[in-house]
Amino acid sequence: MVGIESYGAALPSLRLPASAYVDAWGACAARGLKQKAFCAYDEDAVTLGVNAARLALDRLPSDVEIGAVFFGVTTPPYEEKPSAATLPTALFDNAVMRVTEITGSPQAGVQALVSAIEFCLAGKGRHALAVAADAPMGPADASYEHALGAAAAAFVVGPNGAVAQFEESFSVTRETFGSRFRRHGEDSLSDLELRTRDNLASTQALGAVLSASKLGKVKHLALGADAGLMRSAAKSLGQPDANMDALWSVIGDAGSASAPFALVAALDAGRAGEKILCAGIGSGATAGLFTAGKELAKRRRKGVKVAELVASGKIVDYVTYLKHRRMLSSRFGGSG
Amino acid sequence: MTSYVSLPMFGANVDERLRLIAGKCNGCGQLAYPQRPVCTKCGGDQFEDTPLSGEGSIYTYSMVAGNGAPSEFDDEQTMTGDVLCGVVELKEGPRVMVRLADTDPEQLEIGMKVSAVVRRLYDQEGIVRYGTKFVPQKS
Repeated sequence: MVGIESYGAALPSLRLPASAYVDAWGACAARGLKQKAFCAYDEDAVTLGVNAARLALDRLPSDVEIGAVFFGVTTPPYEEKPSAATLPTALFDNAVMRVTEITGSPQAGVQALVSAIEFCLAGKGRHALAVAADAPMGPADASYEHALGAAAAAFVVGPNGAVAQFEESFSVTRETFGSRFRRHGEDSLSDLELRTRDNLASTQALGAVLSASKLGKVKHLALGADAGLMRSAAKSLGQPDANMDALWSVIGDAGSASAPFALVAALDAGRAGEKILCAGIGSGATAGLFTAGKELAKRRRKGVKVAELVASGKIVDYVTYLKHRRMLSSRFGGSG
Repeated sequence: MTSYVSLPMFGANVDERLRLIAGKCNGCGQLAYPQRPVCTKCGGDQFEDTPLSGEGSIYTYSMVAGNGAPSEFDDEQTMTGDVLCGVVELKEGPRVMVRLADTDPEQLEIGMKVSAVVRRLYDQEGIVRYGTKFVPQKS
């Protein structure tokens, strides 16, 4: 049965505690945030994606022929010139594969995973690599910038789903106005902070779709949601007893990588037979339902776990953060 | 000062740099990384691509302080301070000049175990130059 055969995650090397915003601005606007992971000067979504993918490939018991790479990312360094092409260059000696970059929404990471699954469902014996990586940027004087972090997750998808079998995908779309957008040519996110609670509305819309299906009881919800959404998401999705990750509070808002990174955490903790729902939320939602496989415990023995990644990293001060993120650079003007 | 590498030259061996592929001399078996047209040991000119593990140890290191780094690193040095460089002896034998990352000068030691990671080397002519740096191995 098609599903996840291996997985990996990566975090950047630096950490900023929420107290740094209190010292610099008088308060941290990201309520519930303890610290966030962020990219050093020489890191970006591409380098994080390569690191996560290398771990996922390294965990495979034997080499497989990857026929496609799907890269979910809202912060690639180029608008044209696929950064997804850098991943195979760094990972494979084989260039005979489909490479697709999915961007423009916090759903992009889960969309990449679902696309990889659908690629494998479309042909017998196919393998694909799904990579989600992000490092969203915001203006230094914007309150929503306080939450913005970075992370990456990668999944090798194939015909036997030894780690987690794919059950079903769900999607809802919802146009939003004023929350989390970035015009063409801009590097920083904008948010008019209208308090329209768009993510809650998207979650509720997804919950309505889920309630119409017969997905049963889910053990783990992998959302990467912020503290506000976390309070109501399980109930909105009709899974009030599900385990929720609390990763947002320690890595920040990793954009389209948030939910896939949370899926990796769920796989780190899950047991065979447990159901995991992974949902990327923003201007609608894309979700994938999985059942943890019998090989899960064996395949996760090798390599770093999410808890170890979160506990690692060098803590720096706010000015160092601004410098590494190029927010004080006149040459790069805050661009990633 | 600059150490300008043209984009065609950069692109010509990008696989070799991102995936650490050495050339193994068909004549004597010596590994060359970065790859060379002629073997320094036997003069042979036929090589076989051989992937390296990306693991090694610091043979020597140096810190480029102040504004001493080439111009493509100007912004990085202004933003993050001293640039750390070194020679890493790879597990398979070749010694290679590298950038070191995720460490402070006072933490570096000769013989320290390091691993290869893909990082942004610099940003020039609107193109991000990705390459390999070495970071201390997690204990």
